[in-house]
Parts: sequence; C-alpha cells; structure tokens
Amino acid sequence: MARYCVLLVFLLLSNVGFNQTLRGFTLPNINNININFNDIKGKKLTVVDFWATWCKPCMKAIPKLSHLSSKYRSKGVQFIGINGDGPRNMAKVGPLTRALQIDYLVLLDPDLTIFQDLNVSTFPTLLILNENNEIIWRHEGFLEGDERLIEEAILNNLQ
Amino acid sequence: MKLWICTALLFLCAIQNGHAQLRLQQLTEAQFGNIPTDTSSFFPSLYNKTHLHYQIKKIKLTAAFQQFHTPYSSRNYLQLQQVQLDYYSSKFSFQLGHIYQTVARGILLRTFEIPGALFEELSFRSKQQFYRDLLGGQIRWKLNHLTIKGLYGLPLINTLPPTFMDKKRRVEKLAYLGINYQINKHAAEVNMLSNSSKQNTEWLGAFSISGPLLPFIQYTGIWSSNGSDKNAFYANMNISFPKIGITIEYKDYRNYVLGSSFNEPPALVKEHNYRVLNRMTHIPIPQSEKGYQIEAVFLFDDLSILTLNHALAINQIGGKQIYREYYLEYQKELRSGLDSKVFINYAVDPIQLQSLRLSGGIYNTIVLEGGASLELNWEYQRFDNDVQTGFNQYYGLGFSSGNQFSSFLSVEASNDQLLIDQPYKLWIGGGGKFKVSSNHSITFFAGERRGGPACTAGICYNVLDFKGFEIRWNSTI
Repeated sequence: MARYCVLLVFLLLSNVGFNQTLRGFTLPNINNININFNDIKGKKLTVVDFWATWCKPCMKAIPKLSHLSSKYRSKGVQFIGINGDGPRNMAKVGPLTRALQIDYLVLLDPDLTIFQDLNVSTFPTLLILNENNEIIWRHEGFLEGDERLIEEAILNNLQ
Repeated sequence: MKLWICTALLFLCAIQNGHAQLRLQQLTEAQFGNIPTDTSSFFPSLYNKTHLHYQIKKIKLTAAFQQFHTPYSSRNYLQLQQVQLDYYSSKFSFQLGHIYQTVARGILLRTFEIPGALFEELSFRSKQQFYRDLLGGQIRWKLNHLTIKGLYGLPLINTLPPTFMDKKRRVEKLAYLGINYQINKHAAEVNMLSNSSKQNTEWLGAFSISGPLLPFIQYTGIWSSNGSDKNAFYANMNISFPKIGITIEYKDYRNYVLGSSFNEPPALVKEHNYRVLNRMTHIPIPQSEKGYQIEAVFLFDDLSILTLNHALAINQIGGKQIYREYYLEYQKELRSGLDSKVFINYAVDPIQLQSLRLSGGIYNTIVLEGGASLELNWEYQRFDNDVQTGFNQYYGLGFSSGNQFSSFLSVEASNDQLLIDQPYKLWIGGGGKFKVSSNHSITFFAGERRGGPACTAGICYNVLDFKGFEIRWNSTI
C-alpha cells in the first residue's frame, strides 16, 4: 500500500508545470444560448473578465474594458465577460449588459464553476490567455489607471 | 478499497500522458483582539485555508484544508474540508466529492461559496469559510438541444462549525434529476428533487421556461411545489434597449423553507454595497413572502449612469407586514479625474420595527498625479421606530498608490438603542492592502469594526463586531 502511494505521488508530480490551462467550458449567454469557449476565443489572446452586478470595482472597469475590446479586436484579441451573479441578481445581468453597451460577449456562470476551475478568488479578476488556453497574466481588483496596466499586458503578450 | 482507489488513480495518470498542473491557493488570517461585547479575555486566533489543485488535461483533483487555532481547544480544528475529482468535456462531465449546484434559481437548491468570506457564529466562536456544499456526486450529459443533470449529495448545515462531526452537519440526502431542452432561444426545464432525512422523504418538483418574447423583451417563469402545502412561483421580465435596461421580477413563496434550509429563493430586494443600506437589507422569509422588484438602469451620453429601484415584500407574520423600498443612484465623472456617486433611499421596514428609514450618501474618487487616487465617502441614515428617532453614519477616507498599495480610514457612528447600550457609539478603524507580487497580497486592519447583518454575493449572514488588529495573507501560486 505504502509503495503504491509513493509511486502515485511520484507519478502525479513527475510532469507538473505551473502555467494553468483552461479546460474549456460551455456557458449560456444573456440570450439563453449555450456558447463554447473554443468557438469564441481570440486568435492570439483571450481576455476573460470575471464580474458581478453588485461589485463596484467591476462596474468601474467595464467601460474601460469595452474601450480596450474595440481597440484590440482586429488584432486577434477577444474579450469575454463571465458574470458570477447568483439567483438574487442574475435577472439584472442582461438589461445591465445592454444598457452599459458592453462591447464583448457576456456569459453567465451562477454556480461559479469556471471561477473555481481557474482558481479565481475575488471580483473583479481579469485573466489573459494565449492561443493554447494558458493563463499568462492575472490581475485582481480594479483601481483608476489599471486599464493602462491591462493594455500594457496585452501589448507585451501580443509581441 | 484504498488499494483500488490508488490503482484507479495510477491508471488515470498513466493514460493521461499530458502536462500536469499544480496550483495552490491559501488564505491566512491572524487576529489579535476580541468582539467588543465579550470582555472575558483577549482572544488571539489564527485561521488558514489551503486549496491544492492538480490538473491533467480534462481531469482535476482538488483538496482543501482548513484550520483554526485559539487558546480554547474546544474551538480549534484541523480538517480536510473538501476533496473533489472533476472531469470536464463539452458533452459530458462529472464531479465526485464536495460539489456545488443551483437548481431553479435557488428555489429548489442553492449551494454557494463566498470568496474570501469567513464566518464566525456567536455561540460557537469557531471561524470557518462561509460556504454550503454537497458531499456526493453529479453528472451532466449534453446532447444537441438536451441537457440532462443528475445529482446525489448530502447538504452541509453551515451554521455548525467544523468542530462538529460531519454526520451532524450533513443529516439529509438529496437526489436530483433535471432535464433542460432548448429550442431556438427558448428553454424549458423540468427538475425533480427528493429530500430524505431520518423522519421522512419529501419529493419536490420545479418547471421553468425562459426565452425572448420580442428582441428586446425576455421572460422567465418558474413554478415549484411538493404537490400540497409548499408552493413557490417566480417570474421576471427584462426589457432592454441601448442605454436603457429594465428588470421586473415577481415572487410568491408559501411555506418554502426546504429541509435544513438548503434552498434560497431569489430575494427580489436590492443588494446594496453601501454600508448603511447593506446592513438593513430585507431578508426574505420564504414561509410566507410575496412581492416584486423593479430596477431600471439608464446610461447617458456623457457615460453617467442612473439606477432606480423599487421593491415591495409582503410577509404574514402576526398579521400583514409590508416592506417598501425606493432607491436612486447616480454616478458621473464630474471632470477629468473626479468620479462622483450619490444615492438616496427611502424604506418602510416593519420587520426591523422601522416606520420610516431615510438614507443618503456621496462617494468621490479623485485621481492624483502618478496614478494615485483619493476616496472621500459619506453615508447617513435616519430611522424612526417605537423607541426613538435614530441615526447611523459612516465616513470613509481612502488612498491608493497605484495597484501596489491602498489604505483606508473609516468612522461609523450610531445611536440605535436596540443595538447599543450607551447613548452614542463610534467605531473607528483603518487598514490597508499591500500587493507584494502578482501572487501574494497582505491586508491589515486595526481598530474597531462594526458587525451586524451583511450581504455579499447574494447571500446574507451575520458578522461579529471586532476590536483589535487583524492581518490577512492571500496567495495564488
């Protein structure tokens, strides 16, 4: 038994890497249509923003992200918003998304499945993924001026 | 048995000739102080939660450990909190171990984990992460337009701390089957759930439909019942145009507290971020609650945003109790580098014995040179009850130096005689957050923090007052 356990631990750790990869997902959008990540990801980079309607910094970040989305879409960068509102607030996500004219696709994850899958621990969290779905940049929270850091990260990883 | 599990895992490793990933997340909180009303002794405590994730292609293994240490051994514990084996593909997925699932917008079942929230119950004084999960397994099978979900699990009674045995914290067995059919943009879903306890087995069902009525109008309707005395109905309609979004929701819950309260029907009352409002959030009483909520959001050409909300809830508790709330919030960039937000709120809240409650506040963010910013916040609330005309007040001052460091000072004041035993009380505290690197951050607090009811991520719970020094270390590696 002990030998099995040692062998198991060795095997599990023998090919470990630390760059996290997204396994893919299918989530509904605000129009109730299931969307597969592989169908919408960016050709070069995918920027995933985890947000919720009750989160103040998230609301502050959205107009800035919309601006960056329209600026870099033609360069192979796709923005995706993953909303983590639970049953209490999820009815408000669609109207808010349209009213704020969010420029990119918003998907609904009320059970926080993807949130947990990618080890996200706070709203807002922004991830940049490369074409192999590897997370290459992570940013938590949003303060005035953070949009410059995000743009810098996009530019650095586009090169 | 253990040998078989090891062999199965070895087999899984052998067939997955891919690049594995190991991730670690941890939260450590040390407190030196006490709740202000507890004068028994100084109460230092140390809490830690560590999550380990191991992933090979589509398979993921997760283990979470939780521990709490104080000078009182009856409150201390070290536990393997959660274990999960998870397989995902776009057609089929399964999870074994500690799982999360929401059914019929929480009317039948609502599990949750509030990121970063720690919960300490006054009678046990043993801190734990605030979550409710199920111990069991679930599968999802997806065909073109059809999704079938099945689940079996034991829900956690999260008000009991981990110092209790698991068999006392998980006393019910839930079995669930759900079928969702989608055609064009419409979806119909049938859900069946059985809840077995030592006393009896209860069957519950829910049916829901949703989709667009017109390109700018969407609807959802959910009916749920046990076929006799328990009934719940929820409906919402969304109307959206560019720059205008309107949500209308209706609820009617009768005797709908299920089992150990593993469900949580939508509240239909705005979850406010502002301190004086958040603390007074109406908590639904699903034994008898009906009402509605209307919210409208307007985006103007100058990118300012106006939010209007009205909620009404009727409860039958010793007669008819009617809760009413009207809310307005306006946020605007007054000039380059100056963001302002104002809110006003009017409420009548018979459950909190308040015949009138008026609240208002202003939040300002001033961007300084070099990426720094300053925040100046103020909130005021006046309420009338049978005892007094009272007030709650909050002043906040914050400073951020880019993304690396932020600090705040907060002052709260109240003369609420139903909460405090002195004419007037002040809570003064301050703290900050230092981002050591992209993987580590340290937050700290010193002073006195006001507790009370708090709502985060749609879930409401009670937070204890605190006086002393607190430091938190968060890592994601």
